[in-house]
Amino acid sequence: MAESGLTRRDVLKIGALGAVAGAVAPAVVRAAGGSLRIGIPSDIQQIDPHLVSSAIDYTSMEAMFDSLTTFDRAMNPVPALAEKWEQPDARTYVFHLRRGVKYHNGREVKAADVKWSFERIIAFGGKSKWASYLADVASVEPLDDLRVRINLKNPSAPFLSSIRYAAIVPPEEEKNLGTRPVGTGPFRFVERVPNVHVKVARFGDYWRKDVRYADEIVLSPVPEAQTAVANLQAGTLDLHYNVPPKFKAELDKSPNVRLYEPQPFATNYMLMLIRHAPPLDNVKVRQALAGVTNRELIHRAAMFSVGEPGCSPFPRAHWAHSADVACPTFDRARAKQLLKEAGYPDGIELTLKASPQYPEFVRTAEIYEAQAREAGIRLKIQAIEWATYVKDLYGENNFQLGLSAVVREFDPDAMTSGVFGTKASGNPGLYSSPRMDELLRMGRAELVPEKRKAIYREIAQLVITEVPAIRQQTWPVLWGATAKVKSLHVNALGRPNLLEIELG
Amino acid sequence: MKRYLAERVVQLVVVLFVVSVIVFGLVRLIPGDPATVQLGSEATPQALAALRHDLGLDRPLWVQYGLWVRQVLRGDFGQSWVSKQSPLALIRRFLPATLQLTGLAFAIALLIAFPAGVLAARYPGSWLDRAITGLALLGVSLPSFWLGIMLILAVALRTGWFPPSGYASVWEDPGLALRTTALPAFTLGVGLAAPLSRFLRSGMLDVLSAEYIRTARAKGLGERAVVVRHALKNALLPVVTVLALQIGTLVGGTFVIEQVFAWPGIGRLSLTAIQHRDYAIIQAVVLLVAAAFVLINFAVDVLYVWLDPRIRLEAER
Repeated sequence: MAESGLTRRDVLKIGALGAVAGAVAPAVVRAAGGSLRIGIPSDIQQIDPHLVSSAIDYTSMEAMFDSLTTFDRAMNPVPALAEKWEQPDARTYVFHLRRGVKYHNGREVKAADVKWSFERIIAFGGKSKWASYLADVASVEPLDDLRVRINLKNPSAPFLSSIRYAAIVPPEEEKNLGTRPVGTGPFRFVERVPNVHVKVARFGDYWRKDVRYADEIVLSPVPEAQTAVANLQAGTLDLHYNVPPKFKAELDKSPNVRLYEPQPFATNYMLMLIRHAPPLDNVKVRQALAGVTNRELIHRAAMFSVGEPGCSPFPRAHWAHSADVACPTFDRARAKQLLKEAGYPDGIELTLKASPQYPEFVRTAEIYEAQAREAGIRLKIQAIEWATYVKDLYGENNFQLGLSAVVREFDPDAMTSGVFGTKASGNPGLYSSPRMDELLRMGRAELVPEKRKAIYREIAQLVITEVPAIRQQTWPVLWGATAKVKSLHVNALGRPNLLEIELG
Repeated sequence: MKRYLAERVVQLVVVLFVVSVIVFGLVRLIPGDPATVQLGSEATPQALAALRHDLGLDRPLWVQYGLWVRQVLRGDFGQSWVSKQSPLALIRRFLPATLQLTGLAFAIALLIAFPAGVLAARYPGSWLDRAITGLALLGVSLPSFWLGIMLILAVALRTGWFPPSGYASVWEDPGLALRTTALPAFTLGVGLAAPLSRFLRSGMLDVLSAEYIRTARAKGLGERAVVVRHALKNALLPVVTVLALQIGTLVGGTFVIEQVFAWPGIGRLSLTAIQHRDYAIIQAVVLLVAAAFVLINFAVDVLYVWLDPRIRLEAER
C-alpha cells in the first residue's frame, strides 16, 4: 500500500472509490460522547484556518474544517468534501462536491466557496503557510453549484495531498474567521479564552453520519511538560500533544497512560541546518561535519530511543526510500582528513545554534560538540530563546549551524523541495544547487511511481554527498493518552484523526 | 498637606512616563517581533515586510510611541494580535485568578511565618530556633519551579487530593477552588514565609531585649501577654513595611508558578505575550502594574502622614 505514488490511474481509482458512498471511511468509531480534554504545550495562536502556521494551532483547525480531500491511514489522499474527481488531462481536475454538506452556520457548501477559499489562501501569499501548498494552482472555476474545475500550471504529483489543507469556508463569514471561525468540520467553534482553552462542540449536521465521536473537545495549554504528564497520570487530561521523548521510558511503565506514535511511521525529522557561506560553502567541511554525526548516540541520549536514525530525507518504510542509499560512517579520522584537505589542518571553529524550547536540540548540540572536538571541529553552542532563534535563522540567515525540526507532508516532494530547493522557505542556509533544483522539479512533475522513486533516490544521494544539511533521525510526535482513550490513530505527521478517537 | 499631595501626583506622572518609555523600548529590544512570530519560520521577507507595514511596525519608533501614548491617554491599550482582544479585557479576565493565588499564598506565608518567627525569637539559640532558621534558609533557597514540580509529583499524584494543575474560581466552586489553589499558593507562600519569618525573628529579638519588656515582665505579666501584646505588636511595624515590599516579589513569583501549574493569571498572560511578542499586552500589563505599585505606595505614604505626625511636620517644613 505504501508503494503507491500518485498516478492518473490511482487518482481514477480513488475517485471511483469515492463514488461508492460511505466507502471513504477509514474506520468506524464505536464509542463516543463525552468531553475530550486535550493538553497542548502552548496556547493556540491562530484559529483562522487559512493563516494557521504552527502544528499546535493545527489541532483546532482539524476539528472545525474540511477540505476537498483527506488522508487515509496510509496517507493516500481520499475524498472528503469532494465525493469524487476526474482528471481529464495532467493539468486539470474536476471535483464533484458532496450534496447537502452544511457549514456550521447552516448554509450548504457550493462550488463557488471552493473558488473563494482557494483564492483567499493564494492571496495571502507569504502570510499563509498553505499558499505555498497551492503554488501549482493556476485557476479555480465553478462549473455549477456542485462541480469545480481546478487548472494547474504544471502536472503536479503531490496536488491531491496538498489541497488536503485548503479549508473550505463560507465567504460571508470572512470577518469572523480569526475570532469565531465557521467551517464544515465535525466540531463547531464554541469559545476561546486565551491561555485557558479553545472549546469546540460536536456539530449535529456534520456530513459524515458514519462516525461517532466526542461531544466536545477542550484544548488547554499546559506549558510545563512535567505538569502535563502528571495531568495525564492523574486523569485530569485525556490526551496530550507532543510528550517529550524523555518521558517515554517512564510512561511505557505507567499502567494508566499510553503513548501513541505516528503510524505507519513518522515523516518529521531532525535536521542540522548549514549556512552555505565561508567556511561552510566548502563541501569538505560539510562532509567532515557529517562524518562526526553520531546518530546512534543522538538517538539514545538526546531522543531517548524514540524515532529512526538515518541520513536520507525519507524514513526506511517510505515508498520513496531506496534501500541502497547508505549513510557515511562515523569516522573522526576521515573528518580530520577532510578538514585538512579543505585547508584547515589545525581544525576549525563553528557556532551551533539551538533553542532550549526543545531540549532535544540542546542535548544533540552537546553530543555534536563532544564528538566533533577530537576531529578538530570546535563547536560553540549558542542556546537561544525560540522566537529569537526563528528570527536569526529563518529571518536573517544569521547562523553557521542550527538544529531544527522539519515538519513536512508525506509526499516526497514536500519532504524535500521545501528544504533543499533554492530559495525554499525551509532552506535558511541558502543552499543552492542546479542539479538538486532540477531533480526536485522532475520529482514533482513525474506521475509514474517507479520513475519518481528513481528521482528521489538520486536526491537522497545528493543530500548525502553535497551535504546541504545533515539529517539525524525522524522525530515522531508522541501523543500521551489516558486509559479513557481506547484507541487513537496518529498519522505520519503526528496529527491525530479526531474522528477515530475511541473513548471508553 | 496639599502641597505634599500635589508633589506626589507630579511624581506619579513622571514615574509612569519613565515606565512607559522603558517598557515600550524594552519590548522592541527583544529580538523578533509580532510579524516573525505570526508568520513562523517559513515566512518570506516580502510577507514579513507587508505584515510589519500592516501592524505599523515599519514606522519610526518615536512615532509608534507617540501613537501608543495618545491611545493610552484615551484609555485604549490597543489590541492583542493573537486573540484580537483588548489588553484591558484580558487583564480583567486573568486578574481574579492571580489575586486568588497571591491572596492564598499571602495567607499561607503569614500562617507559617508568624508562629515560626515568634517561637524562634522566644527561644533564641534553642534547637527549635535552629530548626526554624534552617528551614527558612531552605525555603529561601528552593527554586519555586522545582518545589512546584515536586509538589505535583509527590503530593498531587500520590494523594489525588489536588489536581496537578488547573484553575477554579473561588466564587463559582469554593471547594474545587481551594484544591486547585492549594499547591501553587503553598509553593508561592513558602518562598515568602521564609524571609518574613526571619524578619519577624530579628524584630522580635530586638523588642524582647527592650527596657519596656523587662518592665512588663517585672510587673508580673504572664509570658503570653508579654510576647503577644507588648512585643509582637511593636515588632510588627518593620514587618508590615517588608510585607508591602514583598508584594512585588509575590507578583514576580506568579510568573514562574503560573507557568508550572498552567494557572491562567496575569503572570502567564504576560509570559505568553512575551513569547508571542504581543506588544499591546506586555505594554499594558507593565504599565498598569507599575501604576498600581505607585498608587499603593502613594496610598501608604498618605497613610503614614496621617498616622505619624513627624512625617507630616517634615513635609510641611
